[in-house]
Amino acid sequence: MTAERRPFPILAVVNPKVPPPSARRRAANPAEALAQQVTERVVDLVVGALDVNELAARVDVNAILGRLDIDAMLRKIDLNSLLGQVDVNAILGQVDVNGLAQRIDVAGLAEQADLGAIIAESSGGVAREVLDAVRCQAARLDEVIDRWVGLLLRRKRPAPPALLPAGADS
Amino acid sequence: MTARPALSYQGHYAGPVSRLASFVIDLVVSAGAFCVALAAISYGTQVITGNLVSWNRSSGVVAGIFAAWELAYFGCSWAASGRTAGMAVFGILVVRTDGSALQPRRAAVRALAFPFSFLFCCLGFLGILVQREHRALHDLAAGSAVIYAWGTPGVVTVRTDVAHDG
Repeated sequence: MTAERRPFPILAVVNPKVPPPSARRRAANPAEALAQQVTERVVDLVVGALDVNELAARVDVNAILGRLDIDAMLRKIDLNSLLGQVDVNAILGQVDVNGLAQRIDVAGLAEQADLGAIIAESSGGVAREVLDAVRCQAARLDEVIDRWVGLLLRRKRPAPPALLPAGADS
Repeated sequence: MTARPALSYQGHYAGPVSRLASFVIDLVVSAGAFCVALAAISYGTQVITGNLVSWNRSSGVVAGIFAAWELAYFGCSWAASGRTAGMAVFGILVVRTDGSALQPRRAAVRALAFPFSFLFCCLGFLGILVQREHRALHDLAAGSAVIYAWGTPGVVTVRTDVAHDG
């Protein structure tokens, strides 16, 4: 077995098909590297010298927000698509409901809510409604009997007006 | 047929059903209170003297005390607020014929005349059925009438602008 012998060793380094770089290109490569180094250094210095708080204080956020068309932005957002990507079950699976429930001060809440007053108010309201229904029913029966008696006695005059009209405050 | 709203009844003359139902409640309440009072008296007497006191229903004394108690129950209730417990349940009120509050004197007359309405097969109550203002014998005697008055406080307010003769 013999080693491969190249007729022109220079072809291992130079590709004859590729045109040689121009003189400008050859000079530009080191200049670009230098410029990049200088730029990075300058940026570092500028950033170090900047007072971000002062800059932020000068920015008129209200004016910027005033220019924003938030409605148009929101119209572009597909909320359904966004929400469809949220795995609610996975989120809920990570929530420790028992731990949360144990942290709730039920006794304190009940004390603040004044359950006695709420129960008394609701039960009082129910009792009042039942009582009103019973009263109305009795009054309707009174009305029916009065009508029958009126028919029997062949009354022609209408029933007397209310002794005290509803809403009278005199 | 649509039902009348509760507010439309306010101030109108109360009919026989409301009045009878309220009277039944009053009878139960007053008789119950009377029995409890008798039982308390018996117990107290037994504790203090050691003697057992028993009440006889047919006793004239007990009947007399019961009659006086009923008179006081109805008379005092009408004089104080124009309504008894049963009347409060059914939302009816005793007022004068001009709509003003019933005075104690008229309440006493009404209570005294009330038993007479039971005479002759409750003939005195016939006025509640046939009289246009549903006034019974004791109402005619006392110059009173019974009206519906329930619902929001102040919906029906007894008149105070009427001058009385005393």
